[in-house]
Amino acid sequence: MSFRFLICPLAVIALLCGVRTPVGTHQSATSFGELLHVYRTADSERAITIVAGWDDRRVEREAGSPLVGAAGWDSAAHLLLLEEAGARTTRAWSSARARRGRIAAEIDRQAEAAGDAALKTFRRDVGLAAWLGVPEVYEEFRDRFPDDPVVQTALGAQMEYEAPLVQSHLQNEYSTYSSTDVAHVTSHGRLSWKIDQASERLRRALELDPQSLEARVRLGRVLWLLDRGNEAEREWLSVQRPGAVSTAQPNETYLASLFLGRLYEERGLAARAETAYRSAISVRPSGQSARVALARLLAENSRSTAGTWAAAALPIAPSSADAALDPWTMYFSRQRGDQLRARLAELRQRIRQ
Amino acid sequence: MTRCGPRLKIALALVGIMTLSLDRAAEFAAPVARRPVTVMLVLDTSLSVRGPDFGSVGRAALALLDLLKDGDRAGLVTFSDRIRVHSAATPDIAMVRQRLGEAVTRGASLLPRSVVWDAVMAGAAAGTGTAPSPWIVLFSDGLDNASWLEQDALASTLASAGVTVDFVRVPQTPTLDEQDPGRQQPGDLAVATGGRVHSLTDRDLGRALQKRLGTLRGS
Repeated sequence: MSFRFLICPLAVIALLCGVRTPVGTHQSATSFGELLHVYRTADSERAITIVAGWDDRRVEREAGSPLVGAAGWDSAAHLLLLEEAGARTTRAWSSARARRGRIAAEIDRQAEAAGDAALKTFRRDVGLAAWLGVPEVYEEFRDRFPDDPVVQTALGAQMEYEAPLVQSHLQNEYSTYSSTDVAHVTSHGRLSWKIDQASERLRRALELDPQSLEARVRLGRVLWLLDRGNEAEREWLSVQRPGAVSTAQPNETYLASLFLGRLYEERGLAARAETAYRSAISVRPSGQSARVALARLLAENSRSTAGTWAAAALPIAPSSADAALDPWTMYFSRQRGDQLRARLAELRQRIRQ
Repeated sequence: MTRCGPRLKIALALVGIMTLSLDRAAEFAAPVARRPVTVMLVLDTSLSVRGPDFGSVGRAALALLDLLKDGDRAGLVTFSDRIRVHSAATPDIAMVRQRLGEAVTRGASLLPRSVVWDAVMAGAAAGTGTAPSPWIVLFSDGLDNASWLEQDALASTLASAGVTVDFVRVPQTPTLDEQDPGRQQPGDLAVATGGRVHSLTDRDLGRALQKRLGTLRGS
């Protein structure tokens, strides 16, 4: 395996972690190092404001190198991913992504002009570091709020989200490397770390709050990702059980049914899958994921009656109304930013006291 | 009789040839039996395609509707983070044109979510139930990061159901990172269902789609 393959991402992470320039109590960052400090001390709102205020040239100047600048923007963009609950932060997220894209293009241009293959490799590693470099932030959350089920669920959700992305990113970015190398890293590296973390956090959340249907639904999905289908089924069925269904948590009931449908499809149990999808639709009649899943299932299993599967899908969001977002579409970002921001506000209050 | 034999044979042969020729001529003179088509437009309206080329999407889709004839059907589905079935397959092409115009002028969702595969399934469902099976024309940059369905399963289902998908690749907004891990290859879906891959920036796109329409009509 190429040594560079392992070292470069770690070097970038080390770079991100190592810059610790003290800042004043007013938390105003004027340099890249200070921005990182703000970022790492978890004053996320402030960090976003700073990011929004800087232009690309300033990042490059402050950081001293466009490469470090790109790493900084990757970190900032990832931070913003965490915060994307509202329209304001979504715009900030888009803006950070756009800037990151421009800087990445600049790196490519410079690399091309210099004929420098190492620069291009570095860029790939910067991209990878964006996915790998964040756990320290979550570890900080985990340690500061060990008995908070909301934070534990949020952390578990983030790990659940990142694990397949790391795998996908590795496969896309390192397609020139042998599949054995990629498999090695994904199976023994951060992927399994993230999955294990997800499972641990979600189990902890359920210890703290056994009524948390969200933690239970997510734990089921993590178990499913680990090919432990029977355990996943038990978690999801417990969400569906009469009495467990809370009108306050219809999204979780919908998702549990949706996931059960896929599990049964994988097992070749079409009738049970159909029941599960119809159950999801009964909770959310406009749920587009359940409707397309049911339509595909019916198309697959009763091709002679095309009208049947058409009828399953057609009540999808009418054009005249802005139907609510499907819970699956927002599965990886629902309320995360708001929840963590609220906890951070509590933390800051405690520190001031 | 013996003397007339060869001439009679020649005469009979000529009559036979003329009869056959008339039959063939009649055959060619008959109106061509073109098969009607059902075209389902599936348009990506998410933030990632709202670049300078987005206006071309609406124009290309309208141009395709202009090629439809009496007896044909069309429908319209748009998607970003949400799917909208503006019109199931209908012979009222004028109505589809109107809804297309409204759809492309709507503002884009600010959420960075896109559901290509789910929208294609919705388009297939909204176009089916009428013979023949729908031809789906998907205009998208291929960025999918929130679909429930997976491409392979979708392709298998549509191919079995006789649904063809053509993919018109729309350039992604230049400011977005082209290495987004959500980027997919709808071209594979097109190939798996017997469709074709086109590019919105291709100057011959209109001709290519017209040719595809002709093939589907059987003419």
